[in-house]
Amino acid sequence: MALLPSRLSRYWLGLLIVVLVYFPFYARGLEGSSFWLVLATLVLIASIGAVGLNLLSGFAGQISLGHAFFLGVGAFVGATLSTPASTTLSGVSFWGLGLPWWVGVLGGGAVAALFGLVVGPAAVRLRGLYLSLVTLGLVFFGDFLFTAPALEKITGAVRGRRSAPVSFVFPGMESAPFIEGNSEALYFAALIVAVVGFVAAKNLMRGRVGRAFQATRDHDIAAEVLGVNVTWAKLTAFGVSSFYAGAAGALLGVFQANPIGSNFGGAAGLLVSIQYVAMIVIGGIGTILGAALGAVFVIALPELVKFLTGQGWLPFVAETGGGSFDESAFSTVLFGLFIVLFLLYEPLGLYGLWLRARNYWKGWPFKY
Amino acid sequence: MRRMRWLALLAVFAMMAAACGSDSTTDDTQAPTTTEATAEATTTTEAATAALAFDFGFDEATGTISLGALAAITGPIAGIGQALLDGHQVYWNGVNANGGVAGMYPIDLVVKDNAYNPETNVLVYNESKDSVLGFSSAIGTPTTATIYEDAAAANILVAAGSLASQWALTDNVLLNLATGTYFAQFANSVYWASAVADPAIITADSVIGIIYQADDYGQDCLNGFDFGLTNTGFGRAYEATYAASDTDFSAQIAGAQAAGVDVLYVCTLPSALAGMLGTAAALTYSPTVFGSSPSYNPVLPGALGGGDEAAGLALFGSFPYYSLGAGPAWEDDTPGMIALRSDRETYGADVPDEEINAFYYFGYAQAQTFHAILESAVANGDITRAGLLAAVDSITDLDLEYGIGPTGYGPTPKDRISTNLDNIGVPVSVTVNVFGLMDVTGFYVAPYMVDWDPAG
Repeated sequence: MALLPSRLSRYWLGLLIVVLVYFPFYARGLEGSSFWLVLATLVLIASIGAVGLNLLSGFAGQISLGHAFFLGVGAFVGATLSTPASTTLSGVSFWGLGLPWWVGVLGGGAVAALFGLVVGPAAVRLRGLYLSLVTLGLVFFGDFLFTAPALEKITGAVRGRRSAPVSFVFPGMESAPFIEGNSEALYFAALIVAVVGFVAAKNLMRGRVGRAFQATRDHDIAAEVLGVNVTWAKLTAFGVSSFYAGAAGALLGVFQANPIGSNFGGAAGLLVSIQYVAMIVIGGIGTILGAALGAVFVIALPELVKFLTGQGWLPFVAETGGGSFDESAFSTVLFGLFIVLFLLYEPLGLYGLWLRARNYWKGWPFKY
Repeated sequence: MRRMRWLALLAVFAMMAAACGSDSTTDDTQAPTTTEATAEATTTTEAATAALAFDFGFDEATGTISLGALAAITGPIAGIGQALLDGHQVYWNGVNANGGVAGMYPIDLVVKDNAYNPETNVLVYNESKDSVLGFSSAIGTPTTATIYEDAAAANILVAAGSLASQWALTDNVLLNLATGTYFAQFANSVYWASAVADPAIITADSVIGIIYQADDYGQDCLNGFDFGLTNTGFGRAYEATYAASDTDFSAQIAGAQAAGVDVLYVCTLPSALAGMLGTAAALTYSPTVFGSSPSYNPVLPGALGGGDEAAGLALFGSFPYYSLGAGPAWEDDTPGMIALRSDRETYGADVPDEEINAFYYFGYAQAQTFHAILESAVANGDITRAGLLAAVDSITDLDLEYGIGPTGYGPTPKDRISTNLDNIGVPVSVTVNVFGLMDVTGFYVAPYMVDWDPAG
């Protein structure tokens, strides 16, 4: 199967990339331009992580609640690689190699992948609930690991560490072409990683690896009988998925400017992991595009609710802090509601809705 | 060939977009050209703005100055965040009722909820940063850490709703002058407990420990604690951390008990303190507890006593519990507290009683400080972001009239931190003291903190 099977899909992808490249320049003229830019950046970063989780859970059928741990590994490894050796305001010094941002992303992904490969063997012996419990343990291990005093030079222990902004100023250049400010630079970095990551994931899933993942997901004993090396498939799924999470984490570390370990481990880390699970459930389990749609939905929904409340279109919802049923509570209710509705009526999530709409218009004005 | 055509088209598009976007816009780091108001201004406000240089967050037509407030209205510290915002808002309401800054520039406070979450904080900061002159309140140490470098690059002044002493080392983040930094609270209190309290709480036989939140806030407490112990000749026998989102503290408390800790310092938030004291009570463990200023909230005794405040207070007394950086009492007859109470009556009647606590005072005093800086900037005729930053250094002898004495900022890190803002309170009923804390020390400073310089 071709990477992009039809001319129409190629045009769509081209148009999407053009729109995404143009977006920061368009956003400069918007009121609150930095907000729209950072929101879009967060969506891109989340979509990279969500694609990773979808490869593991959606395609290979391995449940994971430990995604936040791999994000955290990426955040701290990425910051160590791409931030110059530095000192905090209160005198704590960090290791830093000052390498280009993309080295941080690749390095963050690679080290996270190594951790994924360490966890992978558990998946060979476990499945379902038991596997989810093992991966759940990762976020609690992360809480210990990221705040351990012994790793202070890398993670900043309890206080977190600084991460350097993304720079597109390469040797011999005085400034980055077209790009203005750190927020735009991070947006373009996230866009590049997202596009490369999406294409790579799509390419991976249409080949032998993807077929092995899906066979393992559907019935691992049958897959083994058919000649699929299930152990290899599960290990690869964990490795690849963790790589994506690590790469996303490296960018998330830059986004947060001061990544703190406790946000990637313990109860906070579990919430982050669940958020990623929600992204792939709502977006569409087992689809690449669905992961991106899910990220858009989960990140943007609270902002949409805020906007609608501000416009007075949700009279039963109070503005934040204005009552017990405020924007924040309503967003949480909506998340839960959408997860239940999608699981019941459209297991393919937003991607499934997109398919329905596409097929409808493909056949229009005929029903079939 | 086809691919090349696509790439070429993309490149052309990107270049066109860059060209279109670059002539009329600003970036993160570059402020727009400073504007002088026109001489044709006809109203009083317009006439006044004629001499005023401004860039962001100023409406020339109405003379309104927009300020940002990054509040924690939801999330783990909502109880603190809402009270702080209430006090802050009430103060600005009072300023506006009197015409605004310099009697003619009203304040529009743009409030955003960061839920004490770093990612959300980055979002809401960016949501308002282009439309405000500065941030008169930005709650949280770990949250402020996510934005301060971006704010510095854009010349944005940020008044941190945080007492982490590290902010004294920045040029654009202001420490709150309502009470001492966490470092100072802990360093000072070790001196008080060992050399002033009668009988001494810390003695040669004491086993001293600390439990602190795993972030910059907790680290500042720890640094001050260690500094105090070093200077008084004591050492710590136990140290444990917890994450801000944790709800179970049995490991930390059981650890302290097992280590024999009889003087326990905690650097927490109210929900965590409730969990820790509840766990200690269940383990029949009752060390003397010193807690940082954000740890205590006057609703805690009621919550811990199952609705019976007296029972909760008895629990606090059983340790006993000392609240550091307690600040003045609501009932004090200082001019500052009289004005604070009066403003609550006049401009904050809708603020519920349960939201009147030390954090209300904290938010109020924070707005007062920012107001003083704004007045100075207006007097200088420059309310650009750079002008506002420059005005900070002129606030060197500010008396907020709470009985603390003069305080302020200045050009050096040492000027930007005040070590004499500390006192210690013990929990009492809110019917006795609205803030729920009775001062037992008065404002004091340890000898080794008088000349302490955060820059080392």
